[in-house]
Amino acid sequence: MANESVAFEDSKRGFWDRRSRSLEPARRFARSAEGKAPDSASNARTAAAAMLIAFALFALFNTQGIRHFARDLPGNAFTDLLVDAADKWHGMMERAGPAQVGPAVREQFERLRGLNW
Amino acid sequence: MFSPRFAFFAFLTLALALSTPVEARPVSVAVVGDSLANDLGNGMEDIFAGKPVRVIKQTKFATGLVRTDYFNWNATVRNALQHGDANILVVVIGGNDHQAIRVNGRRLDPLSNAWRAEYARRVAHFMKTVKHSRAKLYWVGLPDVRSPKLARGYRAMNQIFKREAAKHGFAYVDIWNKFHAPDGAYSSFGKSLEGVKRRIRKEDGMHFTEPGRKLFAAYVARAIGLR
Amino acid sequence: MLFPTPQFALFFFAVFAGAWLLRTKTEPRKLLLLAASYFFYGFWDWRFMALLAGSSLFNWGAGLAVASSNNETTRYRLVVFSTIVNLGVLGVFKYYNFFIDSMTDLTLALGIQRDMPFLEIVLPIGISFFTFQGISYVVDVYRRQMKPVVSPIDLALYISFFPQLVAGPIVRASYFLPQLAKAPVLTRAAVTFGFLLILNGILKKTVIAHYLAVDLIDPLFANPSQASSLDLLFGQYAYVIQVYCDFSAYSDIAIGAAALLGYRFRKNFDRPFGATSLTQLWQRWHISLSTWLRDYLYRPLRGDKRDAGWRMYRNMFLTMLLGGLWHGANWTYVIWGAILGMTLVIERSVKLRWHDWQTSRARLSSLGAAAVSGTATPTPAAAFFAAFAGWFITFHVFTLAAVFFRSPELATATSYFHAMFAFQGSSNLLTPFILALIVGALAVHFRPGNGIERMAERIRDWPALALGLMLGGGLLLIEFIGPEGVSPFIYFQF
Repeated sequence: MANESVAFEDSKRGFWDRRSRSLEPARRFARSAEGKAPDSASNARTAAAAMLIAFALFALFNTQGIRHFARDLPGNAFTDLLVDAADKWHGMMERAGPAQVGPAVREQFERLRGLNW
Repeated sequence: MFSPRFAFFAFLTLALALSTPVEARPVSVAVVGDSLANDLGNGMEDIFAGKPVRVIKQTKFATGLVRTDYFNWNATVRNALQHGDANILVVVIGGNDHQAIRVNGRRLDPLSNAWRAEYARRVAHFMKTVKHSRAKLYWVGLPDVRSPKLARGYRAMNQIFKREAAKHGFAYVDIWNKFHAPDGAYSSFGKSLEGVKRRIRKEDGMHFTEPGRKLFAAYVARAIGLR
Repeated sequence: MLFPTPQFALFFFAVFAGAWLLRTKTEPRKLLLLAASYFFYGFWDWRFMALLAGSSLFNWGAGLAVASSNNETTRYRLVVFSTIVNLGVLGVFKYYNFFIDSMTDLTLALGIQRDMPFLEIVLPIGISFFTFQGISYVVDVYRRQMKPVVSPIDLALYISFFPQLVAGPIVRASYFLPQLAKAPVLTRAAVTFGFLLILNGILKKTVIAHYLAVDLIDPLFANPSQASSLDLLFGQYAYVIQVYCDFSAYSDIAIGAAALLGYRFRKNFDRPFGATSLTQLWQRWHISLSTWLRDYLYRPLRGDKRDAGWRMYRNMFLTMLLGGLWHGANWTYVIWGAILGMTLVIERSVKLRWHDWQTSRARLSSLGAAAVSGTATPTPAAAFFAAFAGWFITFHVFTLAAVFFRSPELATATSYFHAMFAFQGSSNLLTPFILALIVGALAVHFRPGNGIERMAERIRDWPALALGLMLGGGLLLIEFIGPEGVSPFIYFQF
């Protein structure tokens, strides 16, 4: 009932005054499009796999960031190994190529940023 | 022609010219370092507003002499000092350096003997590189901070700065207890330049608020002869 | 823990995995999320965990006490007491030193030099947010809009849930607690929605907000009198975009993270810069705060009847003023709130008078029933012009007021306006890149507001590899072009 009166009110308003549709409650997240209950376990697995793939991409292309992160950790025997491994991995990725993508992208970006009239 | 009266007035004019305060001659101060240097630079801009003192900030947040993987001051300091016409150069650095130094595959824990030796070496290298500019050189020590652990570290690092400054022609400016409470302990509040108690340190217990920056700049300005 | 850091990514992945493994075991799942939330909060400073726990326990007790009594006076007294305690805690931690500082200003202005009793207080992160959530819970129980929560775990989780703990959105108990009671559900659309929102948020924060600040806004506010007027003009626009991007980025990441964990939060920002009136702006900006202020400040001030005339304006103004003060302990925030309150009042009264004038004029002439009842549709041209004028005025009121929000002190703001209206200087900070950021960021506000939801639906059935490449590739690109190191979000000090 409340929804009906809201819709009626809405239609009386001009285009520029209409209430935003994006504020409606997100019912689509309660059930899948077909109306059946979603398979949460399977969806969670898909999401986890996607996140792991994202981590893998970072491991390949953001080796400098991994070096920084390892050095940010508190110093002990374990983190020493991590720092060592991060440095070695960074060296390998630099030689193989992926680690050079970041600086190249950054260079192009800085060129764009530095443009002037 | 060279009557006593003339000589007298010539002498007076010369005396007046020589006693011109430093402010009347254009001065260029370069402030180099980390976020504390930035605070100092901002404070100087405030207190020298309208005066013939130019403040050039060459600061980079979250940097130091320890984490060369992140930013290498020693490698870039010569390029960073682009304005070679600064007549005074002030360095404030070290706020982010209370952490392990990793060099040649070894980890040196903060304030250990090996760490102090390596840190002193890095400070010396930095000072030697900076010396190539023709400016008068000042090194400002770190101020006291709220965290007791950091305060201990900073006190030790200030000893290193003082020693190396003496060796490499830098004048050392000690501001350690300039912001203390009357009982000598750390306080985020203190007498501002207006003469009343204000908040001079930010919530993080380290950086300076607006009144704090002006106070910081005023102390340093006095130490370097600009006030 | 800050959001756009590797620590948070690892933390979130671990919590995500644990939470979904425990999908069918509700109590252990809640405990895991609670422990994770306290770990997240304690990462900043372990001492604050005690405050958070104390606040949660107190509000849980207050809710039970209010509900268990049937005497109206007792209930009223209890809710007032609990609100006073909550606000008192907030007041002491956040506003005590501000109050003392203001007293110092006052005494200086009167020519008295007197040292005031400052206290060395450390401001707990997020205190404004979790205090407001606690107050909303007890008041909702008092108003009989919800039943009190029996388990302290549930309430503690509601108040401390890590996605929204530190900078919002201010989630209502009546919206979130029922979700805790059911077994959570994860649709594919929720997964893609979560990923897209997180990407969107991190882009806004680390690229748009950052470069606007570093390249234009910070240099301008450091020395406004020396800057060119054109730079200053665009600096204002850039600043509101920076605040919007910074804050809505946090909300986006919070809502996205919550969606991935199976919880739904309401939108907190809805294209505010497309608003054609100030009233509409506040329906779109920091929605959770403005609705909180409406429900827990404006409505109590108003009482039960709809009020009109000066009383309505007074309540409106007070609400905006206090909303300004909530943002921080500084007079510039109060002035900001006052400006926005005043302009809102002016707009409201102008609109009412305009409507009255139009209908009375229509009645006097013979324009017909439609005109008299005020429901005649204007011509498209007239409607567009009205909307454009409304947008122009609203946007500029907001950007001008924001100069106060940004200024560390009043002198900076006055110097900014002075230089801006002096038509001086030649622009040297407004590069094509910055201009593109400003125009691009504004343009998005004129598109329909459900863009991300629709994109999430479209890519719903993408396999994990494609989603991973999108998520990883997007984050990598942002990492490469963003700043080195992390700066805290603007709203963290609240």
